[in-house]
Amino acid sequence: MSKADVLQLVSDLSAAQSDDVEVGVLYDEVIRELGFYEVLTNLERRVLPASANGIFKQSPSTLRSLEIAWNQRRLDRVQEYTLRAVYGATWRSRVGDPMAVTVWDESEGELRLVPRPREGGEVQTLRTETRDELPYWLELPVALMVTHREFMRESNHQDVEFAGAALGLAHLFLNLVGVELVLPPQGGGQESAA
Amino acid sequence: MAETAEALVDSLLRRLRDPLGEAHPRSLALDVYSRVQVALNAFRAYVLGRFDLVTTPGKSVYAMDADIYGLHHVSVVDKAGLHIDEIPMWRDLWKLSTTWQVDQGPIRGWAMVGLGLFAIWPTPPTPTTLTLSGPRVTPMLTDDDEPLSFRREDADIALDLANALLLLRWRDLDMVAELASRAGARLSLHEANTKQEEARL
Repeated sequence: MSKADVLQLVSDLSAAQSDDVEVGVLYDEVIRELGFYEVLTNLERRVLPASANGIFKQSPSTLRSLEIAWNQRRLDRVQEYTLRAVYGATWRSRVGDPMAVTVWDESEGELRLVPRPREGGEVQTLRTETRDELPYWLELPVALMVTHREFMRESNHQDVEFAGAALGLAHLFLNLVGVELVLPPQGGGQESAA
Repeated sequence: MAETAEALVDSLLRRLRDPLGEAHPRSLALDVYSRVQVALNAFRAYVLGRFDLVTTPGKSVYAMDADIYGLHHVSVVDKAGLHIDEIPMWRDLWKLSTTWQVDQGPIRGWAMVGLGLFAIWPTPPTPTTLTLSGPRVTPMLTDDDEPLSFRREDADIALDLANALLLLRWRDLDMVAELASRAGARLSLHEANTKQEEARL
């Protein structure tokens, strides 16, 4: 099932009053927002050569890393200032078995293992991700969320009451398919805050 | 003989005061009902599915859409008739073992990681067949002649919700609120009954 099916459903639910271009943008927004919840989860594995110096880039489809492991061992997520406080200014040059992961280049989506591994290995990331191909059971709730946004925004077809009704149904259907609309207790925030 | 979608769509269109399907095409009614049915089944598990997963040594995490077919989520796991315990919070896997992904041995527990992944711990060293059960992803109905996944008496809430979605289209918002509220109340009641039953057991 593709993004096009969801956009068609939005058009059907709104009796063809939605703006197709805007709805495509809103779809992407809704999928990004769903990344806060553990809905579209996946496991990404990548082999990291020693020459990478422990630096790796996350896939563009990653919305939030739930857990990161090096050679199957879980890594703690640590902020750079903590590394400075614990290891001093030379934390970047430490070499050994990675115990933590930190943001290396936020704009590039790069993370770095700390300490830097001596040898190559495998990074496993349990993550939430964006998808153009949604599971069939998720299409209706997503279409309702998109419909809500489309008719809530200022436009010549704005209809706040209709948008509110769509949101109410979206919440009902999200609950039915197992998406609890509360922020997860830990690891919240977008990937840049990894 | 199983009931087909035709009678159900007829019933839905009668509720909408549109028996000929002029304002609500039959194909749309069928599509909306199918989507409601799959969501409702994920929650209520009217129709259960089963999948035999043959584990791969060294692989502890399986994708629901690539390795396990037809289930919305896993709710019960058996190995040769023996029940395997669920680990309700998947992050607890790390508490059970910091190396759970590579631990080998007879399987002791399983967890859903969100709605996309199924994890086992430890991983059996040889291929082992696990029987997974859970709410089936009911198929999309595309034709009036297709058999219904739900029994007719279970389809009532689904009809209410499909009715609400089709009325949303025509901005009959009071009726949408009424139908959604009615369905929500009945679903909560079901949840309360299930919890009561669980407590009793």
